[in-house]
Amino acid sequence: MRDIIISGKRIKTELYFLLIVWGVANLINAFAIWKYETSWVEMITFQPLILMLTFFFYLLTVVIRVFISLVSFLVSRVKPKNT
Amino acid sequence: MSELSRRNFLKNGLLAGTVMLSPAALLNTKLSAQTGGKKEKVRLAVVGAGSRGQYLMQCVLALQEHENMELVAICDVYEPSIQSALLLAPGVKVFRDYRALLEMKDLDGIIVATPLHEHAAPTIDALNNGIHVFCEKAMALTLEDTYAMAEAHLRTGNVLQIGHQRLFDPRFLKGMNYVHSGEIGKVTQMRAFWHRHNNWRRPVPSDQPELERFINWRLYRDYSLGLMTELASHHIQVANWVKKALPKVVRGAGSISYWKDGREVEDNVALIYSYEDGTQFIYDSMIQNRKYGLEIQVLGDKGTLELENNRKFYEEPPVPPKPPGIVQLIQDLESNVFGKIPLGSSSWEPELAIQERGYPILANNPRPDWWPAWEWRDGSLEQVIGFADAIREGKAIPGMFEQCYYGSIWTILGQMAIDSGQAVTMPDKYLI
Ligand SMILES: NC(=O)c1ccc[n+]([C@@H]2O[C@H](COP(=O)([O-])OP(=O)(O)OC[C@H]3O[C@@H](n4cnc5c(N)ncnc54)[C@H](O)[C@@H]3O)[C@@H](O)[C@H]2O)c1
Repeated sequence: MRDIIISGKRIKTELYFLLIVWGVANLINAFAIWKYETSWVEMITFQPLILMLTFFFYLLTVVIRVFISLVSFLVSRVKPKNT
Repeated sequence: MSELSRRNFLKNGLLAGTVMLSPAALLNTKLSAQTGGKKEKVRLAVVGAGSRGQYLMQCVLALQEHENMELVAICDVYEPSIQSALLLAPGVKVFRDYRALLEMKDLDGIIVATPLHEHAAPTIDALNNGIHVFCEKAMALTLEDTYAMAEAHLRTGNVLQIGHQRLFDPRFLKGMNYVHSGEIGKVTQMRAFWHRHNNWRRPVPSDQPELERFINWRLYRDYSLGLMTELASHHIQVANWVKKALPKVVRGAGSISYWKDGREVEDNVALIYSYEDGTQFIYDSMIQNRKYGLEIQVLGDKGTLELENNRKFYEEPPVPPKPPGIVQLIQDLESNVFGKIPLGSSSWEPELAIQERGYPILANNPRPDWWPAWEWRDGSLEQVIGFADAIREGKAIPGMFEQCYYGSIWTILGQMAIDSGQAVTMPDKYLI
């Protein structure tokens, strides 16, 4: 069996992504509070929901990134090599 | 009677609608804490042991132990009624003439459940003999008899309670609280109806056709005013209770439009009772369609009560707390994505009834364990308890008799409006 090695760099990148999407989810929450004139306490009390959204957005970025690398891989295969 | 006493009544009598709330409501509280056997015994007899009389007999029997009352005698003139009443209370004394019953020793009160035209005589004679009376509604067939009953009660000071069980129904008591505390706002209209689908006839033995008028007394004008005295009287009493006032005038129409079988009372009536402050009470009753059953709707500018149905509604229903912003955003996105996109909106919409389930007027109505399951929970049992308590105290609940008296008077005036096709007001001589 082959060991899957996750490099420190990869972990760092993924943590960045997580942080960014968590920030985006919080921004959306703040927008909703402003738009529907509800209480700002929801910024804290609704963290469980925000974390769920974060996770959902993160999965979305994973899907998009996998898709992009798949496309670029296919494109590189199709391109004639310069020998 | 003078204008002064009229005003006094309006101020102290009907206003006692609120005062009245407390004793009857207290009664309920007392019931839940009932220990039984402590009260002084009250000895009762039933005059007219027919359908309603037997129901009231059952009430007394159910209350014998817990409310310390005893059914000591019955009186009826019809053998089949006596025999079926005796099945309920095998040991009781039987009389065939109420005057003999009134001679009975240690009799505290009688319950009169004879046909309407036979209410006045036993009631007045009993009151004059020092016996308290519970008489079924409506009080009497004529204004004169109704007034004579009131006069006997006021002169002797003996209790005269009338069988308007809604006065003791916890749902109605709570509903009146909502009305009188202003929760449903200014009431300017009340609507009531009582619809049935049957010919209202009772079977007459085929070998005794001469009993037709005796058994089907409700259908003949010598004994009853039909839908008015038998049904409408209840809601007319409630309407006056809501308004804490008497109508100023009544207009009405009626017909025998469906059951053309020789009856003399209408099977289809519609009336409007108008009050001094502009309130209209719109009433109708018929016995050829029962889709809408019975109801009394009290319409205020802040809300509506459907008292029979135990529902209340608000004009501006209380707004539920707003969901959190993020939830609203998700819901909005969802409905934008999946919701229907209107192509245009109508500039005119039919003002159909607001479809809202409303709230219960009385959420629960607890009763002691011993409460009989057959009871309709419409205040009938409570009113018998109230009668026994009034006998013990030697006086009735303040304001209650006046409520019932004017309920009966305005019932008869309603019939007079139907008969004459004219607007009818109450002659001052019937003020008490
Ligand atoms: N409060 C309510 O909800 C309610 C319901 C039903 C009836 N009622 C009232 O109860 C009364 C009786 O109605 P019912 O349906 O029981 O009628 P019913 O015809 O079934 O019973 C009347 C009984 O009175 C007897 N009677 C007639 N004349 C008599 C007399 N002079 N002395 C003694 N007994 C006599 C009859 O033989 C009969 O047994 C009516 O006034 C009616 O309006 C009230």
